Amino acid sequence: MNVSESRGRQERRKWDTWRHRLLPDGIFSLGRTAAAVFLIAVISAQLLSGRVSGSSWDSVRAAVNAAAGILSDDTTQAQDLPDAAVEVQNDASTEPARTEGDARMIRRLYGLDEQTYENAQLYYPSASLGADELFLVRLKTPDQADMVRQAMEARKAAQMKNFEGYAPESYRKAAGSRIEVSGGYALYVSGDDAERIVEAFRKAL
Amino acid sequence: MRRKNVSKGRHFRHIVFCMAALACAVLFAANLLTPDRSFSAAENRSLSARPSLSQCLTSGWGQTADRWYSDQFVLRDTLVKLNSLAGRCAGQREVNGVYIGKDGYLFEKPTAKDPVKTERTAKAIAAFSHENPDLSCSVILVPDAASVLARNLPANAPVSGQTGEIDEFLEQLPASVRKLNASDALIKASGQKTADGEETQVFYRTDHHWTTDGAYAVFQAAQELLNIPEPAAYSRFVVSDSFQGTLASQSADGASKDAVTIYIPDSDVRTTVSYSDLQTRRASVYMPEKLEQKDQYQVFFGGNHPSVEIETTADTGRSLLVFKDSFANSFVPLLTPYYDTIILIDPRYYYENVDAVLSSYGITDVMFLYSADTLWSDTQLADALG
Amino acid sequence: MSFVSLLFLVVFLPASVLLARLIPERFRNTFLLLVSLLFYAWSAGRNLPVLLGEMVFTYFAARELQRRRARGDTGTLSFCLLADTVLLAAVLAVYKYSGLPLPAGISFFTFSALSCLFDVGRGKADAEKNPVSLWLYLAFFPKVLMGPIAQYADMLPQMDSHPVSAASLERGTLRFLAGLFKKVLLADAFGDAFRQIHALPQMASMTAVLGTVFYGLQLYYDFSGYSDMAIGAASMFGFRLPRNFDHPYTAGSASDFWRRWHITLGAWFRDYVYIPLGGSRAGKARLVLNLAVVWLLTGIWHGNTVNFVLWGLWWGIIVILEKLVLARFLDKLSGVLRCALVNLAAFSGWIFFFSPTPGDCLHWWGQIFGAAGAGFWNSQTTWYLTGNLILLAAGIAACGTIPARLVSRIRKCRGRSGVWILAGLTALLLLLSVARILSSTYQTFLYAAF
Repeated sequence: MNVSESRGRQERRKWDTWRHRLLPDGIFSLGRTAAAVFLIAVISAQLLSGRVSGSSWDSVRAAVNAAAGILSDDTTQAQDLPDAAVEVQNDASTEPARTEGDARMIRRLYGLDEQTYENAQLYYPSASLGADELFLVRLKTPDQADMVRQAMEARKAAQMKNFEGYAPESYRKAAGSRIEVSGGYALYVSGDDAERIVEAFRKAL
Repeated sequence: MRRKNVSKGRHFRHIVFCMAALACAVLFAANLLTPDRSFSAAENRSLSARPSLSQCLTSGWGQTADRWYSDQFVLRDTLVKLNSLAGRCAGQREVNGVYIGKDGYLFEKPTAKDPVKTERTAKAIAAFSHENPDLSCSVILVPDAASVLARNLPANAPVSGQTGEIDEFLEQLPASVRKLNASDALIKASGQKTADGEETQVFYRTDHHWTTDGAYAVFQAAQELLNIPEPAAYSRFVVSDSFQGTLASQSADGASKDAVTIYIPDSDVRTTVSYSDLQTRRASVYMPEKLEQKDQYQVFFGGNHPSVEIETTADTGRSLLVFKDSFANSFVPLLTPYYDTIILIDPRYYYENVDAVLSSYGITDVMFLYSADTLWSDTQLADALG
Repeated sequence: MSFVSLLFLVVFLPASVLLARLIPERFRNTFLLLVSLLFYAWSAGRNLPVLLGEMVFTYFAARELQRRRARGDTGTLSFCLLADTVLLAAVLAVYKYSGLPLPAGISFFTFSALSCLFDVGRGKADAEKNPVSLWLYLAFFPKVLMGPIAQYADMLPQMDSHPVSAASLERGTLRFLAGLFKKVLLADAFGDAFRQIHALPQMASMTAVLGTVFYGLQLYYDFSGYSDMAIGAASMFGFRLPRNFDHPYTAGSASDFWRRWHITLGAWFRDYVYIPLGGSRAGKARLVLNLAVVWLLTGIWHGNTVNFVLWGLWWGIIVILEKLVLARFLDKLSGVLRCALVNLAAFSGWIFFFSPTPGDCLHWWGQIFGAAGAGFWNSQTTWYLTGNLILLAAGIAACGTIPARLVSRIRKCRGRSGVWILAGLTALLLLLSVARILSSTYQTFLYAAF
């Protein structure tokens, strides 16, 4: 046996050993690999859902407001405005369905103290029986997510109860309202443009 | 001898095991058989109901079930009182934020003064006074019982000296605002004896509020402040002697009971009280039915409301607007002979526009009546004014 | 649900013990496994998949290791063992350092799983063929959350045969009650007192010292109480779990302290890290290195911040110094003085535990030396001392053997009266414990009255 042949055999044996080690053979190996994959999947799922977004408050707010057609100085500086938002912006004849609210309004409608969160902005319905609403919160710590979600769900339920039997259009909007809590932000949006706003929100995160 | 000890050891273990098993069985059966309560008067909250099957399948069902079982445990209130008593026997003088004082007095742990919030509040009051120069503004701040009845505090209890803190706060207000630190009046009154020869009680033993006697003492000191040249005479009535207030609940202490007194002006002034949130009108500032409930302090105006409108037959041409917390509830009934209209606003529940109230009622006087404990961490007065 | 919830004490535990006795022996382990999984889901339902995943993984991995060993495939065996260890350690590390909420008990059951893999890999024990037995070893509810870390080789023979005798049932109950009293009547009270002191913005020197003492006693009674409850509960099912605490605050040296505090963790690191690395048999330099590694890992195990690493190094340095340099010097001191020194080291170490950052540690040390400017002793100190005097006295007395000697002295009373006195005392303590547990759920909503 010459040198190259024996080296070749050595290499093949090494390759065999490593293939032997890495690929699952036999039921125990298979089961072990499957369980390992399962564990990795569970952890990854948890990591992804708990991820905090790196986007700044201003960019998220600008994107959401743009999609909602709320004109403000910041909107023109936002990057990546969705096309629909530009369209809405240009349509100057739309009467704003939402009015900006302050800390007291946030407390009144949601029972939340604005001071405990990083940032918050509220646009509540302009009309007395209106349902167009937009509430965006940036959380200070991840464990605030549950309380904010509960407050938003309570608001949705309260609005639906308010409008049931009185204002079918508003009831429909309230029933179709969207609550999104992810990446350290929470969004409650109600109105015909809810879907569009949620899309813009997700993209901005 | 050794065998006797060994068998005694075994005997002991046997007895303890039987006792533990019996206790489990008894508690299990008792909890199974006693019906669930829906409301706890002691804790002033509704108790968890048995979780439904659908609730059992959501995440967090473990905590829900635990909470239900604890809330509905047999003899819950008695056992909590027992724990409080055991703590007291072991020398503890602070239970759940309440100091157990001498002579049956309970004291609420003083709230720390938040410098940022109080500065904002002071600025808001100053700005309000500045914007409404024709209104006569006065500020009355009431210290907590720990500052006034220091001799009844448990030894070495940490307190924050609210009298000094109130003085500091009042200094931040402009000269156009009339100020009163209620500490002096209360301390003086607590040292005096009543007509019966008993000590004047200026704070309740079991509640964090001042008594009506304390409120009256401060009222007498505030006559000049409020521009009341000829105060009316009052008759004092004791309407209850079974009051056990917030501090008794908080510390699960059932020892003392308080008396509730009211002062009715001798002059024939009549009042009509309108509650916007209850959508009702009453002919009196008192709600006697509240004396049947646990929180008898609610006999004054039925507790806190966003706004209360009192119309009187006083015919003095003056209207008063009061920004308040619950302490004012026992103070305002003393003011009915001096104002045609008194509006009470509690900024923690009130969301309407304050300026509209000023103009629509033709307000001539404004009073801020707060307890220091509430005001030191309050942000909503400034929100309402600003 | 934890051991100190009423639902557990009145319903879950007695029912499990009763049903385990009634169910035929063949199905007992399966029943206990199901009950344990229910218990885990109750406490940490969202993270049950992690426990299940590790259980399944350990079963297959152990059997795989056994197969490799049987075949003599030592190269692959080592590789597999390494890969398995890396995976389990990685799972633990990800949870510790990513900020995700930690699945309850993950440090404990991961170490149990690793113990199984190491024991099988080194041939110390066979891989359990019956998955139920292995999974019960990992997930057994008395020990899954915080219980003593039982090593696989010790538990394996018990899995197949764990008869419940009257003695084991009764001893178990007694042990469980002792742990309950420690946790509820002592640890929680010390915890309340400590929290009050910790919240103070400024304090006198002795207040800070008092706070440290409260914390150290809380930690001890909490952990040892829980361990006692775990051992007692396991005994009610016929299992023998190893002791976890042995009067650590009476230790005479640092090494002695760690043979008495969290015994099973120390044993785990000794058997699976220290000894395989060479222990004390490879020369002084290697000894120092081995000790440093073990203490670094111990620190990391306890927490995920720098503080815990510092704490591990604190003890590491002390143990190394003691072994190499101070041993002769310490022998000359009296027992009481040695005990005091060890306690000084231990309680100083706990400052790392309750301070979130090293800066907070220094701040607390500053307060102990009077940096807050509040003096040596002020009225606040008196307040916290007098409010907790009886508690402190009981806590200090119970650190040693005084309670045990008192109990046996009373028991030896003439006739049966001593036994009945003790039983009455136990009943009183049980009543007070239930009252205290209820009080911790007492929550008043009196805001509207303000």
